[in-house]
Amino acid sequence: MANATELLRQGKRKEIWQKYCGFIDLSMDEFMKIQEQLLMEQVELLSKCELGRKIMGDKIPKSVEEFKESVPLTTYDDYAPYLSEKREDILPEGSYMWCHTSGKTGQHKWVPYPKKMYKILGEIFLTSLIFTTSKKRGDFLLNEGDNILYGVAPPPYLSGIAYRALAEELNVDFIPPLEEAERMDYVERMKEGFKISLIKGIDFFAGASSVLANIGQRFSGKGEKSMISISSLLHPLVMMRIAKALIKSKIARRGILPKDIWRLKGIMSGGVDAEIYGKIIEHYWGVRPLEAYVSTESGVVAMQLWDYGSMTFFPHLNFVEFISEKDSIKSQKDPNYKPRTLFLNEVKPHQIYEVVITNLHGGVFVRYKSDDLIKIISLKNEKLGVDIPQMAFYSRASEVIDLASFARLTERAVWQAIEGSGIKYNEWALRKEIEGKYPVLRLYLELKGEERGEEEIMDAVHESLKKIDPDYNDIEKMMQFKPLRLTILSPDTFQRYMLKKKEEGADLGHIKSPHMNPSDKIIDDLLQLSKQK
Amino acid sequence: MFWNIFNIIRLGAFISYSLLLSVVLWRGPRTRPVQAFILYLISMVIWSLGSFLMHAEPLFGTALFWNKFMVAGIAAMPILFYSFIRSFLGIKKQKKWLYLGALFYISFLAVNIMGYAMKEAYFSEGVFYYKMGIAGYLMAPGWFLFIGLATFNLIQSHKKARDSFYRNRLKYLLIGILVMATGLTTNFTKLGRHPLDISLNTVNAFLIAYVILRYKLLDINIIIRKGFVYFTLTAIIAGVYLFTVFILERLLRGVVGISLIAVLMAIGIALIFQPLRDFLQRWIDRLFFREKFDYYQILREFTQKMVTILDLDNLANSTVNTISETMQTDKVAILLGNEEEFYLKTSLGLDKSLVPSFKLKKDNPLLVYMIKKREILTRDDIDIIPQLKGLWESKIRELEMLEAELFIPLITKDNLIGIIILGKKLSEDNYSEEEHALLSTVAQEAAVAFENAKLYGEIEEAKIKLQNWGEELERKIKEKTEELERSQALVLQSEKLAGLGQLAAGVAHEIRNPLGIIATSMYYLNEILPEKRKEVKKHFHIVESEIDRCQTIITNLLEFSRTSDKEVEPVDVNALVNMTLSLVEKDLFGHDIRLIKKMETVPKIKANLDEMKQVFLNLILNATQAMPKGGELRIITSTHNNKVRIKVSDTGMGIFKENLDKIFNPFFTTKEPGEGTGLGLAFVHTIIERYGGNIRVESEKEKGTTFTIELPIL
Repeated sequence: MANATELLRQGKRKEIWQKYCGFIDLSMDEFMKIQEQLLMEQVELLSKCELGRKIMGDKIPKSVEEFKESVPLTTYDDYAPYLSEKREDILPEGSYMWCHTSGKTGQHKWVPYPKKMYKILGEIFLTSLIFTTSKKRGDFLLNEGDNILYGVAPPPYLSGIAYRALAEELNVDFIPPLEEAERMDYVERMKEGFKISLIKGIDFFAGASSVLANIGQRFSGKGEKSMISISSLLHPLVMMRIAKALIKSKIARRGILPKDIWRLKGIMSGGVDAEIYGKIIEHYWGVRPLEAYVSTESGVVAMQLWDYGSMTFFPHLNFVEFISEKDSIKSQKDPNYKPRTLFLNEVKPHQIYEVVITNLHGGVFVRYKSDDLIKIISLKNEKLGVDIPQMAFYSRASEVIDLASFARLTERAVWQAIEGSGIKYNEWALRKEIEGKYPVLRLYLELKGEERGEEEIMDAVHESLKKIDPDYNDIEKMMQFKPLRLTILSPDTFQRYMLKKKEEGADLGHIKSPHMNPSDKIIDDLLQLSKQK
Repeated sequence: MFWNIFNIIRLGAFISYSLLLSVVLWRGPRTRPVQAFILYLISMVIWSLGSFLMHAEPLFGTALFWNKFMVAGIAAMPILFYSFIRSFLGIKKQKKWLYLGALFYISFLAVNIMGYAMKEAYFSEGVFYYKMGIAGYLMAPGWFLFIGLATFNLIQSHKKARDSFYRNRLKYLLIGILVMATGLTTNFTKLGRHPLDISLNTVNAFLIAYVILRYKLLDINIIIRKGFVYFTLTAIIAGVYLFTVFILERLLRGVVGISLIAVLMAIGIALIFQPLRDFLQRWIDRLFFREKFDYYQILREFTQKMVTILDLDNLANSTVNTISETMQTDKVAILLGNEEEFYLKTSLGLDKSLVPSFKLKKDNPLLVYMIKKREILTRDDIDIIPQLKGLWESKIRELEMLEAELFIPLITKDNLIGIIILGKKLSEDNYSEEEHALLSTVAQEAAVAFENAKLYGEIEEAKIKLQNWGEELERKIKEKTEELERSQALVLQSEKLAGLGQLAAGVAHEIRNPLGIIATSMYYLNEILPEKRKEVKKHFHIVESEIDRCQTIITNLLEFSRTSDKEVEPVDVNALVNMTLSLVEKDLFGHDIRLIKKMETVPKIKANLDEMKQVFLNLILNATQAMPKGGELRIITSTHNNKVRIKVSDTGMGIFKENLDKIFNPFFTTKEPGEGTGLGLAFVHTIIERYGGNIRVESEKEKGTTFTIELPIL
């Protein structure tokens, strides 16, 4: 079986598109057929292993309907006793990699990836590379030896594993080289990466969008000091690159920007920040980040196409089911409640659903409640001619702040509101607190050279939030109640929090404080650190 | 400006390169090979523009200036061509040659500007003269070095390449180099004054553009073949035409006009063109592609014959053998479909154990896709086509066991009836598009042939089945008739025995009372007559013993006729037979009887143990008595149709045929009077029937008798 490198060498670009991106041409029936066929394969694998028998019981489902009726919904707790010990003997397929996540829930999770799942993960990450360089169907700009600036968490985190898998599909050059990059810590890796990329250039950036936005801001003098050292500028190739960039910026009659120095083909990024920083990154880097819906337990569930609009589901890594928002809330309140699920061909546009996944190809998770809420944007992507339902990430179910049942605020909405308010800030956190008898929203905000006073800042964010969330707007309109409260944290509070967590040996996922619903302990820590100055 | 035909060619080359450059910039994918090709084209634009202006006595700039300008392009071309080839082949190592090239070029540019490359260039009386400087001579080794490296890399890659499409691409580039080299070689001859090199370089540039801009390229072998055919055809037609016109013009001068001759000739040519082209095609195929031609011919002939083969096995075997031979592959298999699945009908070169076990269910994504698309699939397609992502890993592994390279669907009337599977070619090449087309044609014919053979086979099978059913029906009727007769006999026998039993019981009852009175009277008589005479005593004794005998007979009769209320229990037949045999063992030994036992492990039956012991004892004793001079007693136990079967055979005197249906009757005996009551076998029969079993007897005079008992298992 030829991989992308071989197909590229043979000039088979059409085959590359078909192999890695052809799923977008599937009809809904074809999509569901693939889901059904692979689910039945998975059921057979599960029926032969201890974990599968434990979850499915003695009755082996013979159809997807039977599967839905007879197999219970699961959470990580159902797997924890086996996976925390990395028990191979109970798995449906031997693991090729064990993937780790600490997640925002705080639970340390180990997830086995069998060989086939690992391979498909690599293929899908390659798909993202293709989409980022694409302008129309079948057209893409991908070459053997393209450079990828490695800005993701290394193995055993999912992103690190996925890029390893990608490297098996396409002969790419990681900056810094993969083996070195995986050993370095993040700051060291970024410094070294940018140093090398000044000489070699960057074709792709893989990592958090906030990092790229931050680097862009440093160029325009809005951010901290540059990551590029003076000594690295003395290399002749770097001098040529900088000279070229200077000319470009002079012609454009503006200051030098990263896009003048590097001509990126694409940016691959997951998470909410890809959308928040999308436009800023495009301004600085000339390319928008491509968003994907990724989790350690599922790998990639859906991805944006080259129109950078809604995301399209993949048919062959997970079997997907959906719980309506109403049932999801109900099941959060009552763990004994058994919500009904829908298949992808049963979802309705503009509705919010919690995603339930079943790993295919020998993965372990069966009818796994992801705690992720997504919104079905439409049943098709008319613009690109894709007949598969389109989604956008909404929020993690546990991170939605329910304000007196009037409004349900997500991280994305709050972030967009803060950005939209024009406040100069470094970091933020928001949670629901009780003030007297009423629930209020308290925003903990670290500013960055903002000159406005506390009242003005609060009003600005409140007004911005009203614009973004109509339900939030209704609270004031109907109840004459302004629910937002503000606590300003001293400069570098969040930075100090991260250092403190690092010193405590916290897991990568717990170094940063969460944006939404931080615990009492975290808030206490932040307030304490804020006082220290 | 100075214009002549050669300069127009130079201008044409410049325009061609410029257009090509525009097309590549506008339409070409933004890949590294394309970028490298653009640089190569720029060098050619400089070369052609310089060459044109140098010879055109331009309005601005001297001939020497444009000559130097042209040389800047010429010197860059081989390095950039080498760079393009490296990029096209994905070569990353050995960058030193590129650096060396860059260094050489920068140095050369400097010396060119200083006038050490070209010393003089000028027109004199319409003739162009030039004189190279010392550095100018460095261009030739540079050219040979970089074009040589490019050629070497291309040949190496061609050797390693396994993919026919890729090899085809490389062939285009190699031919391009050949064309370019031919052009350059002319510079060392008198032809060097003419712009042959730049013209042939233009051909090369177009070939490269075709390679990088077109997704699928025409098979270069076919192009060469067709080119050769049409070249020969044109040469022959032109030769014949000119010769004929010449002759006719000479012969018919003044009779008909030359234009009429030309028209007649044109009509003649139009008529013979197609047959002549076909003839030439065959002739060239035979001459240059003999082996391939022969193979294809065999395949075409076989395809025509296929429909006449009606035996499915024969057709399948002939098809795999012919395809294997003609397509030069050692692995061919045929899958045929039935109601539920596709099975491996026959195979060549595959593990034979696969044939019975290999099955593809009809909902297999591969089959569903083939039914829908009706096109030949390659092994790589399975990995590429999105609709096949639902294939199970285990099914992919099964397909891999077939070592298939091509899956050719056999379709008739919208139905996929089978698939021809071809392994890799022995040459390790991929199947060419021409072979794909040929195999598609073969598949169309084969589908019809297989459908016919299948139908014929089904009819034949149905015929045989019908025949078998007839025979089976006949056999079953005979069997049932015999069974019915036996049942009838058994019913008769049972009814008769039941009647006799009732009669005997009545008689026994009636006799038992008077016999009791007689016995009582005898007792009193014995008491009354104290002293008896010796004769009286003797007769008293006789009367008493006869009364006893009568009472035994009456007891047996009653036993025979009454319904048993004895305790029923699970009985181990083998253990019971062994126990019974132990009772008569001495008797057997005394009569020189050899005992043969063949006792399978049999399930228990439900019966009364004592009664069953009586049954076996009766049968064994009868057998013993039938062999006064010794013989063989054979006891076999087995299980048949949920019944335990016990066979007791002797090699004794046997039973007369006429007595066989009477032996179970009460009081029937062939023994001397007083030696037997004739109730033993009647008793056996009654007991066996009581437990839902049956008993049969087979006997042949002087050979022996066999009793067969069958009793339902517990």
